Amino acid sequence: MALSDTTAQNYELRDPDVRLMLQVRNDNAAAFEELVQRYQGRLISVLEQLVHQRDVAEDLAQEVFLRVFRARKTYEPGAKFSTWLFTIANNVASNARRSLARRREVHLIPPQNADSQATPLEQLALEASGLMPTRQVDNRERAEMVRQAVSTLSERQKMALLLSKFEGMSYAEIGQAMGASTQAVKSLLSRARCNLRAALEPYMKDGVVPECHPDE
Amino acid sequence: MVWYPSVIPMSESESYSTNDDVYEQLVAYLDGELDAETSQQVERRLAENVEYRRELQQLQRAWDMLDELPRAEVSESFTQTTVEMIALSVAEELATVPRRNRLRAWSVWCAAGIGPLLAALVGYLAVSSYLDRPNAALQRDLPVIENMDLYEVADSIDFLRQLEATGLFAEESDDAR
Repeated sequence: MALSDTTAQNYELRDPDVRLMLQVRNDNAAAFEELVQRYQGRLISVLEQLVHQRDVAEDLAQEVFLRVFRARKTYEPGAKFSTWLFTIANNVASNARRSLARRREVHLIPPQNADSQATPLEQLALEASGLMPTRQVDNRERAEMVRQAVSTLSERQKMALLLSKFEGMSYAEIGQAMGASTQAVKSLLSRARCNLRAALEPYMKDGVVPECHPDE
Repeated sequence: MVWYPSVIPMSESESYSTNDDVYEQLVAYLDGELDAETSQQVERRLAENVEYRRELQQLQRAWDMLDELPRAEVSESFTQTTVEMIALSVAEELATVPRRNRLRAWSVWCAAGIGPLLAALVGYLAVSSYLDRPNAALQRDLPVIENMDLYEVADSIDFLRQLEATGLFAEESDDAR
């Protein structure tokens, strides 16, 4: 569907990154470098949560930027630049997940310990707490718990959650980036946040790792 | 599958059909995605329902804990590498363009050359077939033409056939061979 001139002009006026991308369309290399600098950290942060490996996330981020550059000549501002960029990122991440899953190079979902009923989060809590009755969880441990809680979400829940939290996208923008309706995003995010809340519940109460009872 | 923390008891006046709807409304409220009227409904419910309020707080706390996730710190060299990688990729792309263009040009020239040749061949066959048609008729009728004097003597074709059936022309046929 062709974009109306008014829509394109609105995004051009409101979004400085759209203006940069329009310069990239005119083969301005400096504008492209500026966009890479602005978005590389945000992109890698989201991708790393999706693929769980920093080096893979960096490769995917480069793939995203390459696609942005290749698409420059046909670029029309039909959304905020970040929405457009994360639409590409969502496609790249989906393809990569399928490919990685096929090659079994990456455990996209951390494997459950078959000998234990404990979830990875609980295992982490046990390891972190050792035999101490209760103790304050340090920042690194808390970050790891949150990371593991996020990893329990489905891929789509995770993507929607990360775009909402870290990119501040509205439901409509997330829908645009993920190819879903606003209602579907509403449902996806509701489920994501309920699941996240459930996974983190043991650690939310007092900010402590629960008491370890190794014999239980 | 979704894990709902708890089933929030609703008052009789509340019209949610499922727990899905309750949590969707709560989360959308936290995300600022509800219209003013629905937001007010949620706020009234929050004021009245302790369990509902507790769920909202828990959802908000879990959301806030996402801030614990480390944000990627990217080095200057990553930007450099990315831009260089893309420049290289574009250069390779440009290098393949002339080759692709040559192939396309070759295809066009082939199509342009073969087309008229085919047309000429078809035309030649059609014309020669048309021109050969009278000759073919002459060839077919040659035995009749050669024996025209004899046929003129005979009154009818049936009579000649009867004579042939008696073997009268056998000797002449053999001579003709």
